[in-house]
Amino acid sequence: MLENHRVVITGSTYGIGLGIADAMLRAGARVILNSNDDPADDVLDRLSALGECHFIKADLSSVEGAIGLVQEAHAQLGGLDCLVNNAGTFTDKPFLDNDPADYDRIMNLNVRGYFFATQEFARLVGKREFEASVVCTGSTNGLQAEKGMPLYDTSKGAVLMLVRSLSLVLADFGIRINGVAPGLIRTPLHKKVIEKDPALCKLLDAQIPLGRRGELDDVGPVAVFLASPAAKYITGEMIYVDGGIAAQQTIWEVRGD
Amino acid sequence: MIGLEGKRALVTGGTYGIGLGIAEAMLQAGARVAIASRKPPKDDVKQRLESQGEVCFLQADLSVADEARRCVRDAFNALEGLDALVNNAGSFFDVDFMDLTEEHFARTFDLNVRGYFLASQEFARVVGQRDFDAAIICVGSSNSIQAEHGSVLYDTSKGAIFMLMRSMAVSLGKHGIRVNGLGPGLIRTPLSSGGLASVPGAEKLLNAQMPLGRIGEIEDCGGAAVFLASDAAKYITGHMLYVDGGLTALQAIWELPEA
Repeated sequence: MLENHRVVITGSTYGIGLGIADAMLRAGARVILNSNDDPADDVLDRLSALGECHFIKADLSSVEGAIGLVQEAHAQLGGLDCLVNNAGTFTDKPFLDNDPADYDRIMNLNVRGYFFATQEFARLVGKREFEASVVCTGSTNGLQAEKGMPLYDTSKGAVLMLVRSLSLVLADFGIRINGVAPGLIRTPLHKKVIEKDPALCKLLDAQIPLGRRGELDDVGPVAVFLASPAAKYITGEMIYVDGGIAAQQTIWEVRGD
Repeated sequence: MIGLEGKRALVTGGTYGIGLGIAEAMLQAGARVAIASRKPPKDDVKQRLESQGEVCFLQADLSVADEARRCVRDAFNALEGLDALVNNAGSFFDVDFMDLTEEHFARTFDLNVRGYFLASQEFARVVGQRDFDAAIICVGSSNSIQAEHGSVLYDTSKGAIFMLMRSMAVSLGKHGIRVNGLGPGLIRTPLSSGGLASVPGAEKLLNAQMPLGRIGEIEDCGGAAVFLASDAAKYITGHMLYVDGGLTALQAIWELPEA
């Protein structure tokens, strides 16, 4: 589906970004991986077995890092057809303890990084025919809040309108931009933190119409679809990959006893 | 992964317009397809569809309750099972708000809403317990969330489809069936072409309101339906996917297109 597509994915050495990289490679794309850390030893080996990929270290929370990554990826692949803005972070500090540094850290990575990476992508790829696209990882938290996550929720709300607003602007460049919004996904972090508590897992699963939290391979193929010609008339869209959690209002009992 | 090999799909209203585009895309993706329509397909349409894969045609008026249910059973029998239902058959009246009658209301809602409801209920009945490999797709519209002048009943019926889809997604999760929507924007179909041609300059003005710069074509919608029915969407339910060239992302244009 994405043969010869040249893709750069920010924050793609673990979690949801890694799942997207995996799916893009399986679909035939050539991929630039990125993180602000060195990847775990086996990650590059495993992904290289799926197709052509290279790693570029860059910190997307700095404007120079965001612009530099897109420039370097463009040079290394001899052009770019898709940018996946994915690198993001959160804090679970209580609201009253959030200081300006927390605010900056989250907004700079989750919003400013997306913004300037996309601007540089549009600058470099020039006038296209809607075969080029940007995919932004949003979240169900862009629409529905979680207690104790005001900075993360706010940043993801910003990503929703970033996608919609840039869809108008990027259309002039022949570039589509859309979002993938995961719900509760079993990332390594989720497994480490949430799955220590089986009762919590049961309560969460009970609130998901499909009855389970998502897997990484639930998300990756959706990004592939949005980058592919099958989505050629789709722009400004956020696709929720959430097992239906955002469709449901409340549960009245915890099933599955 | 975004293929439909081995899948069996029923598309209602699939002999022209958006439904035809969906049926063709599903055939091209490897599905076996049953098409339900009030009138039989034109010869050239029938031949084109048959050249693209295994397809069968069922006669049914989806606005009649018994026929909506029967056509799902007929499709299930003809294809020896069903994996996807595309609720698509719909219509509208080009009638001023003040002239709309109870009959207009009934005819719009019987087809656009009750038809979807009953066909989906029957689908869930006949396919039984599934493992999230079965999917219902409801063709909504950008009119599910944004209204058009002179289109009160159509807009209302499509608004109903948005919540019908979301509510069925919540209820059918435990059946292992996913339910999603496909919301086309303004697409050039046999139904919309007449209106477009009747207002001079309309098309240019409309194109200027589409971020992608053009009214959609039937072929633009098929890929999204294939995606939603495929395993690539296996964790997606309760979602309306707009295929609208960015139309619903834009608030207003600030200048007229050049004449």
